[in-house]
Amino acid sequence: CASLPPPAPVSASAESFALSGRLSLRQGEMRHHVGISWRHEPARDEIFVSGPLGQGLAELTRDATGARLLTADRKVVTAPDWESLAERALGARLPLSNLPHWVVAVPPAPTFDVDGWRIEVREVADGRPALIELRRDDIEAVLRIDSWAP
Amino acid sequence: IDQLRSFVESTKNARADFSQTVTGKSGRKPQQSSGQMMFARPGKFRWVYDKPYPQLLIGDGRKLWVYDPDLKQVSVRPLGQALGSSPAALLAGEHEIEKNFHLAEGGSRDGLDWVEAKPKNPDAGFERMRIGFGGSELRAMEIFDNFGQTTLIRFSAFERNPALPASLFRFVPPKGADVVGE
Repeated sequence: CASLPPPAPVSASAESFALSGRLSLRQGEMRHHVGISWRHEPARDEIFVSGPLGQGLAELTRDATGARLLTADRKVVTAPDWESLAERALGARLPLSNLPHWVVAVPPAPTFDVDGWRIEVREVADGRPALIELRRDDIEAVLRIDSWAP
Repeated sequence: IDQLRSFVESTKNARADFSQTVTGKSGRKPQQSSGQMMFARPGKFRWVYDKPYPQLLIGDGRKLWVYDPDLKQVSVRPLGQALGSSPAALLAGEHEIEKNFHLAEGGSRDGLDWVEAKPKNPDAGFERMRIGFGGSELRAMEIFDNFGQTTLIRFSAFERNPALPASLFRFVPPKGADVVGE
């Protein structure tokens, strides 16, 4: 899988959810550890990235018109697809358009491969994934989901 | 402001319990957390979160260490600039707070006397802060970040100048933890 698949039309899961948790990311030497709160609807996504004391670091929003990133030093960056903006906010390129499918339901097989990503649901809590590992090339991401909001 | 100055002058180190509430703007559920904090001037602090999940922040005077035992993740970065204009700066910073913040009287509210502190460094990562005193005792801090979020920290069981072993402000990465350097 040398090249990235063409950005799939955003077929985010029909589910709407809001989760908060932590994301630790490693790409080669680079590593990030941030708080994440993600509000997902089919037509709109909002990911809020926060630091250890809860202070805001970045806010990423996606809707039909495109994607927008607001940074802690009040810069606003826009782009047609949000995965490239997410790379700036989170520190590595993650499969954000497909991630909604994987966080809402426990898959039949705990480990599966999609688009070159190896996804492993390592912990489940009341019927939903609680700890998910995503690996691809030199990117390794661990998403801990601490709580779900309706 | 005098209370802040006398607090900084008279408090070489301190320890307190804290409860923290972060309220987002877009109706996000407020996030509650709590734990203990301690600091020793200059530049050393220890911020221990117990709930909702354990997390340890240590400023050892040179570096800021953040340890997440659940994910076995340790991140470390230079304290310098981060301390200069971060909320922890006021607690553990050098004496000259005016160097890093514009100070203004914040009036009295909820039984506390407040000081407004605006970081002079434009990309301090937060917009402004308010510090609440009950007499000469630090009782609350309110941090307004650049995303419309407010972090309210309330301190209790405040101890002024307790004996704090230096080891509290040193961080030794546990075996097997993945150290993230920046």
